[in-house]
Amino acid sequence: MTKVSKSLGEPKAKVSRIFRSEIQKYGYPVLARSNRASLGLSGMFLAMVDIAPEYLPTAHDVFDGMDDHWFLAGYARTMPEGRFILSFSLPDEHADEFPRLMDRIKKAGLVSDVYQTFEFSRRTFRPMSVENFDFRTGRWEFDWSRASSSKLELQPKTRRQQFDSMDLSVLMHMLLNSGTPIDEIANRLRIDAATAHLHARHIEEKHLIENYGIYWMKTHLDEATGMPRRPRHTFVSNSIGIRKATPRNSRSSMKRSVRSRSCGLNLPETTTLQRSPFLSSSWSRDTLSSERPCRLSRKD
Amino acid sequence: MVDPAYGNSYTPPRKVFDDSTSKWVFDLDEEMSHLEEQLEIVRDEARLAKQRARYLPDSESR
Repeated sequence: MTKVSKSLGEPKAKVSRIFRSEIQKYGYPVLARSNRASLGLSGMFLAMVDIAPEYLPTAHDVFDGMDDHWFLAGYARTMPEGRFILSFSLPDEHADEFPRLMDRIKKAGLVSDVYQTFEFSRRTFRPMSVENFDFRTGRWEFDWSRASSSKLELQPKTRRQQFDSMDLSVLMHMLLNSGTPIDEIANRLRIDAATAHLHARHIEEKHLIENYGIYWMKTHLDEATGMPRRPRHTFVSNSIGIRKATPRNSRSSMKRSVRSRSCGLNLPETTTLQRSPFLSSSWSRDTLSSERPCRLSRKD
Repeated sequence: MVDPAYGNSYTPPRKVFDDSTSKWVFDLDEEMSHLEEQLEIVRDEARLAKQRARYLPDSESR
C-alpha cells in the first residue's frame, strides 16, 4: 500500500480506503506472484495439448489434485478449440528433462496429443481494453506496437535463494491471498506468530515474491455459481509467453519483435487472438453474454 | 482465448521440496505414480456416476 500511495502521490490512508471500498469489498484478493528464479524454478515451458476425452470433463480435478506433487505451474483451456495450454516451471537443473516429462504424461494417458511446446523466459499479463475489440467485425484492433513498451523487456534474472519448506508454506498463503494477516497464516499452519513473521520477512528479503497484483480472472468468480461476483466487467486480459532469450540478447530480440509488431510470437500486424496458440485472452462471461454483438472471428 | 472457468493460482509444489538437501526433487516415477492415482480416482468417480445414472429411477434422477 505504501508503494501504491507513493506512485500515485496520494496519502496512504486514502489509497487504503479506496482499496477497501472498491476492491476488497467486492472479493478481489491481492495475489502475489512468486519469483520463480529465486525459487530455482526458472525452467519455464509451455505445451499445447489435447486432454484425452475420458479425462476432459475432470481435467480440472486432476490438475488440482496434482498441485503440490509436480511442477505444473498453470493451465488454461482455449476457446473454442478446447485444447489445454499447460505451463511448467521445472527446477533449473532439470530443465532439459521437459521432453521426457511430456512423454511420460502422454504415456500415462492424460494427454492424447501434444501440438507444440517451447521454453519461455517470461510471461506477462497485459490488460486489454474492450475498446480495442471491434464488435462489427469481431476482430481485435489492438496496436501490437504498444505492447513493445519497456514493461515487456526481460528483467534481470535473480539468483536462486535459500529457503525451507516452512517458507514455502507461508509463501503459499501469501500467494493465494496477500491480504491474509500473518497471524492468521500462523494459525492455519499451526505455528506461532513470531515464527510466521520470521518466515514472511525472509520471503520478502530473499525476493521470493516478484510482484503483487489484482487479477480478475478466476478470482472474481463465485465458485458456487460460476458467475462473476461483480456484474460489470468489461475488459479482457492477455497473457504473452516470451520465448526463451538470454538477458544479453533479449533487447535485440525485442527490437526485432517491435519491427515485426509480433511480440516475438510471429503474429500478423493486426490479428485475431486465436491465431496464436500461446497468446491467450479471456474476458468475463457477462461481457460475452452482453447484448452487444460479440462475435469472434476465426480465420482458418 | 481461454475459458475463464479453467485456470489456477500458482503456488510452488511444497511436496517435492527436500528440506535436508534444500533442493527440488524431480522424480518422474514418483510424479507419474501420483498422476496415475489421480487418474484412477477420476475413472472411479466416472464409473460410479455412470452406475448411479443407470440404476437411479427416472423420477429420482429428475
